[in-house]
Amino acid sequence: MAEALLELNGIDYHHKIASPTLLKPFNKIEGLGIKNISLNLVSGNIIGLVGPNGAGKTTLMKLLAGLLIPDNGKIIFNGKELQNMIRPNWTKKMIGMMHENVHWYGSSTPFKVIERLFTIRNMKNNKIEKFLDFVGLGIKAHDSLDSLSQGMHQRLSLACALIGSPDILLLDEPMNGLDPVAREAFAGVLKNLAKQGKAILISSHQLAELERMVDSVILMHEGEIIEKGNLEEIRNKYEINNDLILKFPTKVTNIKEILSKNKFENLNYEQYKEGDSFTIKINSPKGGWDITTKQEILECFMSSKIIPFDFRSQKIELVEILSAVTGLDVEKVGMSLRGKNG
Amino acid sequence: MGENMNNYIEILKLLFKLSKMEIKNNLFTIRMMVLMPILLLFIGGASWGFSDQNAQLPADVSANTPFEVLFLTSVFVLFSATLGVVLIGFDGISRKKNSGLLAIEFCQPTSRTILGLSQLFGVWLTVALPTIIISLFSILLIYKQMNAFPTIGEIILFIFATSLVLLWYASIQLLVSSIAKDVGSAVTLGVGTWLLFTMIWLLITALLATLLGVDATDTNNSQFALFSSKVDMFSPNGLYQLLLEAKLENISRDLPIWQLSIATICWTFIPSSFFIWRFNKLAV
Repeated sequence: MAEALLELNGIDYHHKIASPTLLKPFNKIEGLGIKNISLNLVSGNIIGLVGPNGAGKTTLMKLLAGLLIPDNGKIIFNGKELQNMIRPNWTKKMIGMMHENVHWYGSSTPFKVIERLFTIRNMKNNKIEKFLDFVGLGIKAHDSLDSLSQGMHQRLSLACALIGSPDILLLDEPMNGLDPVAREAFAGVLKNLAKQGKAILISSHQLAELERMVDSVILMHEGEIIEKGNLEEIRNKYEINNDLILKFPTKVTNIKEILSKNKFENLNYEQYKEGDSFTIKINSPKGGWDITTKQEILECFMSSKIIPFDFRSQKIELVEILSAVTGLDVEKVGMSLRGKNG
Repeated sequence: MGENMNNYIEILKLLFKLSKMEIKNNLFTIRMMVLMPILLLFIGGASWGFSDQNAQLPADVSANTPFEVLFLTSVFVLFSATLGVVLIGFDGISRKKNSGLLAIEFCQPTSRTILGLSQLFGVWLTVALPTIIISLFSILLIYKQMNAFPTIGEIILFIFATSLVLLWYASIQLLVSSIAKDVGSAVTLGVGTWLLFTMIWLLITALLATLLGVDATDTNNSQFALFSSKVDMFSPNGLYQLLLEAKLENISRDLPIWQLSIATICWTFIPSSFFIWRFNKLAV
């Protein structure tokens, strides 16, 4: 296995929250943070950092980028352990971070924004236009930030992370505000960057949008890493399987009979009305689906001349995985997520 | 040794480039468009008016020499240029922090001290440069009216003291801006500190005098004058006026030059160092 570009071992960090009292106006208390985080970022790998709002994803990213200093633990860059957690400039050169929700506004332009960052990095300014072309902002280089769309703003945030061609990319909720076309393009850019050997950590609270992009995922909940690895492995480990969804224009009355044609009468299913159509949800068998089983179920309906107008696997939501990993029931995990979101 | 020297030169070059960029960004803003006529009218207008031999001034105000005119003009510098620093600097840090730009800059491989200093020089010089240019223009106006220039020493003292008071204000503004959480608190803190030193300081002086048993009912008595000069050393406006008074023959508040020097050094280095320290500790 390739050597880790960046390694975290047992990292703890607690936010310091202002809690002024009459006698102590600058009093601070320890708030939530992250606990006992260990992870490796390896060249060419895309890792998804998944968790609900408030799980500690952004805090972890800021720690990796050197914006926050951990309370405990070890940080190792290219095999060299950092003394006293102090981040020398060479470590910052290795990392590019795309921040969540940067408010790009005002009369400044993408060119000026990048020019300033080039200057801060002591880089020559004659490559800015080419650089902006690379992220698709070439034609908008001299437009005011106010006139750019949300997608363009995201591209500008990505451009800021790519300056200096860092080895490690930290992308905090990069898909926010992107339309499906832009998401597709973005996924392509990320895959190219990974091919070039970059280690990429990408955070999201939506599992589905990361699924196609990442090599593995890190699942965070309440400041801790609760599971990591390949998504398929996690699903298998916790026996989380997606249900099969079939949609029909009219109610299907003889489902059991249809399914028994291929000896699937033991599968659990339910039928419910959704708008003008009827949906049959067939629960996943133990051990998950294989492609043949799905094909055979479809054949059962087709041979009975009952043709579905929609046939797909239901996406697994983050809440279901969290529920499986934490052992809490879906309702309880859902409530805690809703509480954090709202 | 040679390598260290080269490093320092590189750091200074970077600081110069970043400060220049900051000044350029600040200069072409609506705030500056508002500020420029104010500076011109206040500083230029004051020097023109006070140097007019036909002007009717109150009996205790003397404007017989070019430097006395500059001294009177300094009051208008305090009302216009320092307000300009507030205008440019009140959200210098908070705006960048709230927009997320500061976090991006902090991720770059450059020390926060350099970024903070460039911010400080940017705010300071954006106001100081036009103020100095207008002050030099005002000296020409004084010459036109009085047919005499201030001495070179007087001009240098005026420019030096004016530059310093603007630096002190820039440090204070950026410091309070780094504390501010949003635009509202940035405005409140920025304008509040300006009001404290520009409008309320005399009241604070009188209150302190009364508390310490100094007669504050007659501001012309020598005991109160000495007391107020000591309190003024704790205000940038007061110290600015004290520095200029050092060259005036008809005003003397008996303050030893070493005390003035220490106050000047303290005002130059303490707020700016405190700002840089806070900037280095700032969580984004």
